[in-house]
Amino acid sequence: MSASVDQSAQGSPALQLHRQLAAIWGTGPGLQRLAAVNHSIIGRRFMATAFVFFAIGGVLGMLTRVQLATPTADFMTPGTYNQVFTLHGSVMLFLFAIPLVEGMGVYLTPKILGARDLAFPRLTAFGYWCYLFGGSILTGALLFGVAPDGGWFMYTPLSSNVYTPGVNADVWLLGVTFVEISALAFAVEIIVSILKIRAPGMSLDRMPIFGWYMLITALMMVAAFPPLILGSILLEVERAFHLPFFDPTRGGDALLWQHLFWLFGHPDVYIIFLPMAGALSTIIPVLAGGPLVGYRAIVVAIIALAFVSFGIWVHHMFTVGIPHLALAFFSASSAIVAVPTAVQVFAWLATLAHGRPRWNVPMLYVFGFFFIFALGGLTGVMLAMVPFDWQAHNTYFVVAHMHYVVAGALAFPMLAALYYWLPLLTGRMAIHQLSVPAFWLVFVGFNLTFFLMHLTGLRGMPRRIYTYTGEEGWNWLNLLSSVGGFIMTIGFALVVIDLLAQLRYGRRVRRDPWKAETLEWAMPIPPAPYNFASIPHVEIGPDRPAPDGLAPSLARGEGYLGFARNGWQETLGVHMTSGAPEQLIVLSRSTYLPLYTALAIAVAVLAMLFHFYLPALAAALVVAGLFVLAGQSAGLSRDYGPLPVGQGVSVPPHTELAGSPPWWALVFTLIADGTLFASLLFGTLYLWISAPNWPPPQTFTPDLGLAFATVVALLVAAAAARGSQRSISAGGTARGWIGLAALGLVVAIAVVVGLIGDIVPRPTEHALGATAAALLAYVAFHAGIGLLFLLSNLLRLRGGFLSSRRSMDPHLTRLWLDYTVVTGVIALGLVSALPALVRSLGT
Amino acid sequence: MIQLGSTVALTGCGGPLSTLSAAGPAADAIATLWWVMLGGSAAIFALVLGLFALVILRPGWGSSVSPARWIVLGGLVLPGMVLTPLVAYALITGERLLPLAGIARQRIEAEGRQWSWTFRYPGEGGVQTVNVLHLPAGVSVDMAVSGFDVIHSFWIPRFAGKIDAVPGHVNVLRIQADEPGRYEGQCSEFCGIGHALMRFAVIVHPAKDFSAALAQAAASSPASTKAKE
Amino acid sequence: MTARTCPLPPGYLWWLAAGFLVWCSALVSVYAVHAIGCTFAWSAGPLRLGLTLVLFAHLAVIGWMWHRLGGADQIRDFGQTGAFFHMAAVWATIAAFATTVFTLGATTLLNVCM
Repeated sequence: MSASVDQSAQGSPALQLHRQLAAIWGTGPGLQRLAAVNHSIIGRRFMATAFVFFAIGGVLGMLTRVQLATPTADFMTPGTYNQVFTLHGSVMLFLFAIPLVEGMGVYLTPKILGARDLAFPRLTAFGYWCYLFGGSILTGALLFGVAPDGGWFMYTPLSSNVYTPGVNADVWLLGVTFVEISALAFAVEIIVSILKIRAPGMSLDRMPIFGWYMLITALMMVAAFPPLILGSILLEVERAFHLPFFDPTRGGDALLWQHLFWLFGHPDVYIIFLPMAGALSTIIPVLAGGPLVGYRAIVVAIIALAFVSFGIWVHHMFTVGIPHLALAFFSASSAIVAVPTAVQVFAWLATLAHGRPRWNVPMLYVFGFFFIFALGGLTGVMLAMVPFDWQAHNTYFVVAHMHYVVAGALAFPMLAALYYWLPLLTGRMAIHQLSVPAFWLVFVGFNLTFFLMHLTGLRGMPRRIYTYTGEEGWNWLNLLSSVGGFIMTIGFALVVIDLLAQLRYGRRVRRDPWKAETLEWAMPIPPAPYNFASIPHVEIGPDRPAPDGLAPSLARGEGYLGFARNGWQETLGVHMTSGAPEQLIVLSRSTYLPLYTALAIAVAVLAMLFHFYLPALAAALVVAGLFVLAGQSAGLSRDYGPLPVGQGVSVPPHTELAGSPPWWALVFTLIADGTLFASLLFGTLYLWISAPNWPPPQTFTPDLGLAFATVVALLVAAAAARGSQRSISAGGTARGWIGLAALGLVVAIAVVVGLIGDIVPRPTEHALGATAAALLAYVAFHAGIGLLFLLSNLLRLRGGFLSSRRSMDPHLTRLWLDYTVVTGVIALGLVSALPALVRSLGT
Repeated sequence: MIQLGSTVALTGCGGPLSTLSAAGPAADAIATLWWVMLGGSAAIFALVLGLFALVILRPGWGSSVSPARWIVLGGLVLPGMVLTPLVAYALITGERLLPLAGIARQRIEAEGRQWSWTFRYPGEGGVQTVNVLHLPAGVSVDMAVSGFDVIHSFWIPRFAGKIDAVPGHVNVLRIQADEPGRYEGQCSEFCGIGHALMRFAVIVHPAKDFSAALAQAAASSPASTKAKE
Repeated sequence: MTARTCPLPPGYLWWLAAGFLVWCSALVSVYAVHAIGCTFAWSAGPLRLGLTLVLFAHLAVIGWMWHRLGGADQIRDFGQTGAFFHMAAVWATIAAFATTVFTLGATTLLNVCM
């Protein structure tokens, strides 16, 4: 991808700088594109792939509308229909909505924050490959007729191996979990990048509002995805190895799956909405020609929204038999979650009221957003009311509501954002002749399809039925919905043609066409792979850096880092809150490692699908090896001390600082891991309280001695990690300490495996044994990863990547082992307490 | 409000499975809640879209109202005034629909399995019927609902809301039919290939004839008399 | 540039989340006590009392945080950024208090285990 530079305006210093930086930051041609790690490239790939999956999901949706257009249709067999609607939901949510949001975040965030790339370019690429391969497995299954068919929320026991013996459910569980790796990778990367890599002077209160939205979204993802990942792992283990977490006949509980799924599922709606709301909060002020109203109110509102959205998952479970008092909490939460949304909507209205709004294509989609999202929000409040939900739950009323929310939260803001930012991506303006009719076709088609579904649902049509008799009074409603669906599809096709036409024939623009005030427009468009030839200093804010005047001076290298050095990909790390320059971040360059690692995971997933567990294990070991290998080229192989970064400022490289991006990345990874662990604890206690067929016939006696021995071994490892940290900081080799830590971990693993062997009832016989085994396996797994940390430390010591100044690695190892000790104590404590808890149930 | 509900039912909300043509007190209370919410929602929707139209079509129209006031009035005061009474109303309605101990005069067990419904009548000598539920009119009945294999959901839209039939759990739903007649029920949780066809008939008898009618129905239907366990 | 100020310590960001973290704790605790109480068939009176106590304990903690933030002088040295985060933290804490009352208030009124 070559960048256009305005030679006449910027003169030859700018051109020279561009050539030097492009040589460092560019990705090679041909097959070398597979090694790309640049955020602009990966962001574009994410979005393009998401749109392909959107088309696939859309076609699947249309197939369901064909089937339902008339009663007693036999366009599809019920089996096919079940695969089609399951995949429609799964594709739209997991392969379109979330990845699109990720792609937008990957592409825009560094540009808006004045950075050259995200913190971990290889991780960006790894996330993309995981998404592409996982998504391909999921959709590819349809070609072989083995696509998932249990509905996109995969309720057990229907999705268990008893009632879905084929590979269909495994495709979903493994494929979606594979894709979710990319979500977690994205979340950690975005959090660290926003907190640490911004333009100097951009304190958090001056950060463009988009940054706040992405930050909160990513923090939500860190907490929301682990429950689903845990649920998927447990269900896959139940299916493959017969450990009964959800099987009611052996002490499991189907409702545990619903809790884990919706603990993810509801926050996920807001994970999709918030970035798009961030786009609206960026676009609306520009179109209104004034500043965003209520910046601080919006920040507080989205913090509130992020938290409250985790307290409403049970509103998907109002009919499962939970006491009304408990439903009341979630009903009230589901109602009050409308307040922060209302704050944002009225902040946007006030922004428009205080400006002079321009009426154009993005604004047309903003109108579509207001119309559709308002309706979706209102029906959401209706469904939050428990008695009404008892009637409307699982009917087409919910289908209508959900599509209004998702189209309002995602589709219309997405198209507004697309028309707004396409000049940045392509360097061309939209041609408006097609855009307007396309909008109206989508808008009218959407409302015709889904508005009527409210009534269809109130007239009693349950979701997920493949046919109806024709006597229920649903005929004309369904027929009109199907007609509307086709109108909407034609509209989307026109949008695609419109976008392609813009790519080909649109008027070229060189600069900000909107008179916007965020930094992504302070660069020549389309952007060069390094974004900014030099990085600006932000003096005012938020959203007021006046990019028009800034762009030429930045291109001439008059900001920070306006030079090439050592062939390094450099960007600036700042103090988290104040934005003062703090470290020089040297980013890793193009490599095939992310691709190979994702391929190895794909092999493991496919082997699991075909029940080849030994090859799957081997592939997993290859993945572990590739991760250790990836660590071998990170960082710098000697000490540099403070280096000049321009403007008379010198800062050390990130390798020589304690608060560098890897440290924060591990902190947030452990928060995600901690959420998974908390979900596991919740699951164990939930089964104890609620599951049928408890207590089991007999129960093990806890071996307190062995549990204590495990804790001691883990403590020894953690203490030795501290020793190694001190030794390396003092310039030593730390080999003894590393060896001692490894010994501690090996002992802990051995003892824990022994403990698993002693569990009664056996893990396959009863959920008590299964949960105890899961808790112990969690400890062993983390000790095992700890061994990988130690191995990487040893190799990097030998490779010269560690010194008394470059001592991040032992800090990371210590943090991991500390986490292992804490969770280990809790897990072993709970396992030891389980027999007593079981006794308290009586008989 | 109830009358409004039934008038509209005749024109646009009818159908054997319609939640809006209520034939029992629970469905009736919920339909009333729906019409109240519909009215409120229409007003709020008109307000939001009206404001949007005004700020776009009449630039400067809302600029005399300070930004803080926009946000406080629209974002806090408006939802606060709407949501607080609504949540209270819905919780009170929900509380009244609960199967409180000691009021129901009949207890009937319903078990969903792939893909049929079995109904047992412990108060009527333990007879059972398959895919046909017999109820006495004007009597509140506690349905004890469970699932045999996967999760199903028991729903007679004209009488009351639904309750899930979860294997390993027994959930209780109170229903009451106002008038004798034929009604329909259906499974409303996706349960596999046969989900769409998992309907059942509901026959409501005058309360005084109920026992006799049930015995006769159980005797005349071979599928129903065959005890499965 | 404004007068020289110290950079706000990153740890202060926790105050943005603190109130709602207590709300999370309140929701989880009330839900857990309720589930355990109903499973072990505790009688309605003591169970409701327990739930109410848990709720009010959490409200007291958020109230105390609100009070502490309200009188905070320590934020003065941190310039505009400090002022921004101080106000944001105060409002987030107030929002958390209101959310706790609204979402868990029903514990004191409704039927306990039905």
